[in-house]
Amino acid sequence: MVFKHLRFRSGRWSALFLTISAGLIALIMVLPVGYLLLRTSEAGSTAWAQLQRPSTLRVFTGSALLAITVTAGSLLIGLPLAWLTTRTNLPGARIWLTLIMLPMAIPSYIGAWAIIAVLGPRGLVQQWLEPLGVERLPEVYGFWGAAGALILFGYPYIVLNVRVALRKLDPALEEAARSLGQRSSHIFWRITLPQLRPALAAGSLLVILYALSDFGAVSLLRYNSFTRAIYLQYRASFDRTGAAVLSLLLVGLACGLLTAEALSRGRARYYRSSAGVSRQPKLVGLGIWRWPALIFCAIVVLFAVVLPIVAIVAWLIIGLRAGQTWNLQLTDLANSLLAASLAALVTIVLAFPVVFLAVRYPSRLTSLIERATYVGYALPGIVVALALVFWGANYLPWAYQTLGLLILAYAVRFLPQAIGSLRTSLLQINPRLEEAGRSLGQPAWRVVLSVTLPLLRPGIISGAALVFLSTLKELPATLLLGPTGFHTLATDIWNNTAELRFSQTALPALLLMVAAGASLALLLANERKT
Amino acid sequence: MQTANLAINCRGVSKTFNATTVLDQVDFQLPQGSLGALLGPSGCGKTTLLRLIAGFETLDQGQIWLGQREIANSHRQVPPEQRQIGMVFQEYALFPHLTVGQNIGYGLSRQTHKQQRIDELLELVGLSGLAQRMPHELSGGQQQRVALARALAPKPQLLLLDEPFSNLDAGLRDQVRTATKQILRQVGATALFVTHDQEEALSLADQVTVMLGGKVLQSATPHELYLRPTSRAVAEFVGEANFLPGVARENRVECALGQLLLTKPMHGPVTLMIRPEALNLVPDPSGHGQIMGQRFYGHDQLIDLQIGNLTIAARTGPRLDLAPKMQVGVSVQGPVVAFQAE
Repeated sequence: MVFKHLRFRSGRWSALFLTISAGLIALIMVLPVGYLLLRTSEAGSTAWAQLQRPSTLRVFTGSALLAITVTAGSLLIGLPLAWLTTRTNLPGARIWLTLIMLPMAIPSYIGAWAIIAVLGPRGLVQQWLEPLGVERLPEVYGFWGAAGALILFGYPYIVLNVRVALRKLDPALEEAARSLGQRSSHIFWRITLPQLRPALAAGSLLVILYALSDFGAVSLLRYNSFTRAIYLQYRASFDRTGAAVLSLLLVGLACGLLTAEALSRGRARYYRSSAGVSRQPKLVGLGIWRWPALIFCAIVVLFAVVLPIVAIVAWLIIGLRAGQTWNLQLTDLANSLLAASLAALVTIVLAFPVVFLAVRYPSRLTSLIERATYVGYALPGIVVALALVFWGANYLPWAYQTLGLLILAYAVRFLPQAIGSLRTSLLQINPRLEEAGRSLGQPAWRVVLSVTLPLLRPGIISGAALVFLSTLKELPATLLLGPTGFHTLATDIWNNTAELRFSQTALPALLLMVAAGASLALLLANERKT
Repeated sequence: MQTANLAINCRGVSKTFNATTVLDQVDFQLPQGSLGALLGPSGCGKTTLLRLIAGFETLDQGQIWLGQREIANSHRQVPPEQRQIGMVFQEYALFPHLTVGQNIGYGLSRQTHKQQRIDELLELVGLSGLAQRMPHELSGGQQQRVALARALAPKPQLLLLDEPFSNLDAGLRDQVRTATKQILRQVGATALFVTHDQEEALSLADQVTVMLGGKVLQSATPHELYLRPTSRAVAEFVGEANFLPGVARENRVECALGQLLLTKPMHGPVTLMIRPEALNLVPDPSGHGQIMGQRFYGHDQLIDLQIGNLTIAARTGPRLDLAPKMQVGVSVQGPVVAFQAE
């Protein structure tokens, strides 16, 4: 009788099970922060001294400014691009879409290196213009260089999230507004944009966290944000306290931004509540406006895509001319792909309980759990890696220096990407569908498998693809946690760049971009199919 | 009413959402094999009662029996999938990734004659040959029928319908209502639907239950509900009604319309309820009623009358002998319902 009693309240049990598993996942995600706190508290007065230095404040404000600028820039570029490629008759929309998403395949360190190699002092443009008497180009190093580079690699997060939302948007809402006599521009601001809010928020959050945690671009472009400062501190001395204090500050900044975003999310519901199934929206005719639209797309693509490719090709040619030889790094390519696939799989699996809990059982606790999982992503990869090195060496010696621990590091870093995609999709699945399944005699778990999962597929695929791409590009965790002799394309590029062998960087960079570009194409093709 | 014949039996059911009482000690019964309607304005708790019966909400107090089986009390809730209660949702909730056939077959897990049953149901709802269509390729009326077929497929003990016709346009609605009733009769299903449309409730159901403010006011056959409402609120909500004061003694009542017959003996000051169509009008220059206005609908008309300082409405068939400003004689057909005056 007791067991029958328990079975009767299965709804609450599944909520409890979700809460426990999501709570555990959140716990793993905040592990690195725990490590930071431990290191800092052990240090005591040294930590205080570090905190009170003026340079610390400069790093803090500098990073915040960078994150805000990059997010604003990414929204300004990403939102129009998403709308143009989804809802208008932009000529060659599919090709443009592929092109504007390509920067996702380009790691920021390759991009920054390309900017320097093309636009920097002694870069390609400088060399071409020298005979014309141009002595100096505008400075590429510093704030604007770093912000520019990060915007060029950050806006695709906005495009991806907004596109998913735009495609699922109920066209009846816009039609209703039109029938009420509203102008198109009014409809966009009052109807479409508010509906896009969850997607814009998820996308902005990814961009902010990306800007805060990026290491490659800011260090190459010499802008002293948190990640560069932490790395320099860590490298300059054996004392990790300074790095830990700065890292804690960075986590605090990210937490503040997450709270602000949570407060602005509001209480509206976003699934469709009307009868039947959504129709495909009509495309907006651009008319004469297609020319400015095309120029806008072309400029973005020129800086975000053409520039790195030109740099790589030019350096390949320079290398070939100089008689440079490359060993074909097939095992490194295989290692990269293996690690990225495992990371995508594990991360999606971990994201499920968190998203289900947050969307279907909203409460203060579940929202806290969801927020906690974002923290790992705000930590620079190098901090996550250090934390796991520490934990691995002390508590999990059997896992230390294995692929498993490396995958865990990727999961800690990229879980928010999977959660963002899944959340957006799940929000748009009407809970009545799940109720219908249960009223037809199927237990909750089978309804999830046969109804919710298939409908979540676009979200699962875009989430997995995002994690896969991010892992391919990931550098610091791979460097610190990879098993001995485990080389990937990213570590190849890093080793060569660090030793200033720029022409040797070109081939692994090319392979990496092809691998990432291929998976991106797969993702877009799949998105089109559904 | 014999409990043995009840398909659904709710006793003292209460439900509170965030300190708002949505259902307050609700008693509700529906006999086996009948078609019941839960009628009330939005926010009266009718949908919550439906969802409690389906198992999508948990009750705070009371019990619910499905036939002889207790399916919910404040301690135990049978999960929805074990209740054998089918549901047709207001927005249909067809699975957008499954074909019509797969939607209907969803509740038939690995049955031997699954395909046969699907074909059977498609024929029942008149959609044979559309099994391979996707839901978005169907019209609203067709989607509603698929939702009905899907809910009926596992042969549920009880079928619940949440505002099943509200998403259809008026022309189609009547047709789909009739078809739905026919289908439910044909398979002998016990069904309960929620509606805010009194015409829908009266014309379809065997038993209409009026709810207001989280309470059941009256549960009766459509005729009884209309002709013998037990409260002024029910009389007001179902159909049109004139209310006038009177003084009752035994089976008679004295009022502005003269001495009338009561449906049951009463005493003292009462409020009378007279349906507009119970009033007979005869043109008569010495009559004590005057026609103030006329609303002509074709098949009938509403006449606004002034009798002394009383304004009442009368319904007559289309006729040429009545016009505004005219004096008329007014008489009442049949006994009238009275409520104790407040």
